[in-house]
Amino acid sequence: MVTSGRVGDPRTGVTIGYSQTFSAFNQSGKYCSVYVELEILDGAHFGRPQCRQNYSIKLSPLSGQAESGTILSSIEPDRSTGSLVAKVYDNNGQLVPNAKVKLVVDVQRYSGGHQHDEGRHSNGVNENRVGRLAPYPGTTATISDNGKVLEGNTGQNGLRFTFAAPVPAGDHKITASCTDGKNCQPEGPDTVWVGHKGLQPLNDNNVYILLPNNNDPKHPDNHNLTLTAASRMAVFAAMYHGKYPNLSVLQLNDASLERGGIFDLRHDWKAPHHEHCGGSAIDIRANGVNGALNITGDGVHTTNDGTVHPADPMIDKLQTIADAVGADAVWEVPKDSNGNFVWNARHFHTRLTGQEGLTCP
Amino acid sequence: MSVTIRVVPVVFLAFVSCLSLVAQAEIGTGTVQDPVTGKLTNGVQQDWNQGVVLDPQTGNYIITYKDAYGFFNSSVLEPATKITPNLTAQFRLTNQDGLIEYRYALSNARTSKQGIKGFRVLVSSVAPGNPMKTGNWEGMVAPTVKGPNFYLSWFCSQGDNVCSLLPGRRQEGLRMTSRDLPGISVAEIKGKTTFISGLVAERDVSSALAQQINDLTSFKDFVPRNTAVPLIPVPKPFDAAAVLTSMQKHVNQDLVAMKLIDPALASQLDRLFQTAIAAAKGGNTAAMKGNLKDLRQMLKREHADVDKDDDDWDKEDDGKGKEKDKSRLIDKLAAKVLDFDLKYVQKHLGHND
Repeated sequence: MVTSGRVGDPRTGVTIGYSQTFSAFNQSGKYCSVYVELEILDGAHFGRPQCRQNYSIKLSPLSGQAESGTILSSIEPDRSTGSLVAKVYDNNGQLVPNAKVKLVVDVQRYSGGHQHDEGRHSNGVNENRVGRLAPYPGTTATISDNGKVLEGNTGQNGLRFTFAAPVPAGDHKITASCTDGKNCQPEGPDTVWVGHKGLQPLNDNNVYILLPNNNDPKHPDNHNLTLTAASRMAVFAAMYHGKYPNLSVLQLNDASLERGGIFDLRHDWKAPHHEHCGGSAIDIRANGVNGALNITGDGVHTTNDGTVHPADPMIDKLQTIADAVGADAVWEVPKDSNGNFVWNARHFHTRLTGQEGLTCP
Repeated sequence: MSVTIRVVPVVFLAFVSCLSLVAQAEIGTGTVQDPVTGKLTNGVQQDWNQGVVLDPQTGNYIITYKDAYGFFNSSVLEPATKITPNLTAQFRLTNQDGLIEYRYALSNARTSKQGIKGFRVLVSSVAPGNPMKTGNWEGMVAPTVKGPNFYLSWFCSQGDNVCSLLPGRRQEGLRMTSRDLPGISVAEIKGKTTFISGLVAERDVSSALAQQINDLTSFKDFVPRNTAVPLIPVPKPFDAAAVLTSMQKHVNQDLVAMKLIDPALASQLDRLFQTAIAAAKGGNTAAMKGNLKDLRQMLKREHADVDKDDDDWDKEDDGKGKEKDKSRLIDKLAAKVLDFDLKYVQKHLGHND
């Protein structure tokens, strides 16, 4: 018991007494709140103490265990989890059948290596920016808000559902609640980790220079590769330096973000910057700026002075080193949004361990 | 020992051309690459048919796609596979502390439409200071970083330019040494392309078209040829069981996967390898010698001259006249390699052939 007192009932003018809620733990250690209804002093009605049940709602993989106390599951971008399940338990830890539940998923701000958030929390038509929930095949549930909300009945064994990851990496929190009047408190892991495991930042090395991402502070960590790709890049750069010791070492630009996933140069959760998703590719700058490798012409593209210069033999030479180390250095002059080639942004898009495919992943 | 590699050429171009796909025409603006000069012209307005089309005259592909910004691109892709290479390998035990010398000769058929730029192959190891430079051909070795193996390669390099072995020409004397015994690996041989593709690597195209482009480019853009390279590690001090185990694995996994041995024959060899390995581990040298002899006899049944040493190491194998002796059960080069390896083990056991 906490407090009590007397007030006048505004409808009838009758003075009533009240006592406020108190809480306790029952014998099994479960939280139980008890309150006393209003007591009319004339004795016409006596309220009885009632124990209002508290419930918990928990998420888990259908098989196996959650990854940690907070991470329910991990999944690569643009992939779907196996079956997850939402279950409701009573004060005694007993599974409650046929509870109506609601799951709402959203991505955490600034997670997954993106220091920008605008437009991230909803999916338009043909967009894949935020994760989606769906009933597991054979399970009946209602989806709304383009997969952000899922509602259904837990039946005898819980509500089974899946999570489809979007192309950007990031943490997705699933907020679970009950919709049938039960006071359900979410407990346990509730976050799906979206990204590529095993990416690591490229180490500093005297055979290459890591270019800071000054032009794109919203993607500050842009030099992440798998261990194999990072090792191959080091071998590649060392062989280049050994062969051309009088030239500047290779200057490395974008690889992947800290967890991979789509690398949206325009901060719009879309391409282009394909094959920079899984930590297998990196761009080697070749525009001659600040000592970078300077490819003077390729015999194909128009350079800044409006002419087509003969192919610089260094294109072939660099590609030959790539061949020797098991990489593939693709000469590239990217296009801008007007469809024009940007000679100043020329580089070697270098596949270090294979082709990722043209979408993420 | 002299070995010629004669494998049916892989009809890569024909395979890819079957995949060609052309979608409905769409009017739009984009970039066109001239199929002869390679030069790019921007702002072209026309009907575009997305897809991959093989130009039978040049052997090049015209790839038309719509990019992420809605502009069209029609790019020429010149594959590095317009070559018919022949790669021969020779190997012999040297007098230098167990080193094995490997020697390769590469030729380019007169009918090839490109010069050969070079080749790369997976090996288990090379001796320090290898591979050696031969004329314009520069050898390189690089760790694969994905396992214990290395990439061994030779590429043509002349002054400031990457050169090539022209059609009708032959390059001999590509040499290297290794402590490891030969096995069979696939050499990836590349032709020298003449101009840059205007294809933007980081493009955004439909998955069906993207898959076709991927099949044409990058890590698949070579002509494969089987060859003999160091693949069976020889531990120091010598360990017969370890060598035989590596050979057994090479037969059961690599040679079977490469379809160089009939699975039934592989099973027979496997049983003999098992008993030989057990004998080696048990220190039963006499039994092991018997098993090795049986293994070599089995190979000899398939290729009568499998154990014939090449008396004329100074004369490079020209690859001619080696077509007659063909077994359906095991490729001749594979048989030669296995026999060489078994003989090497026998020598360590003090066996007189």
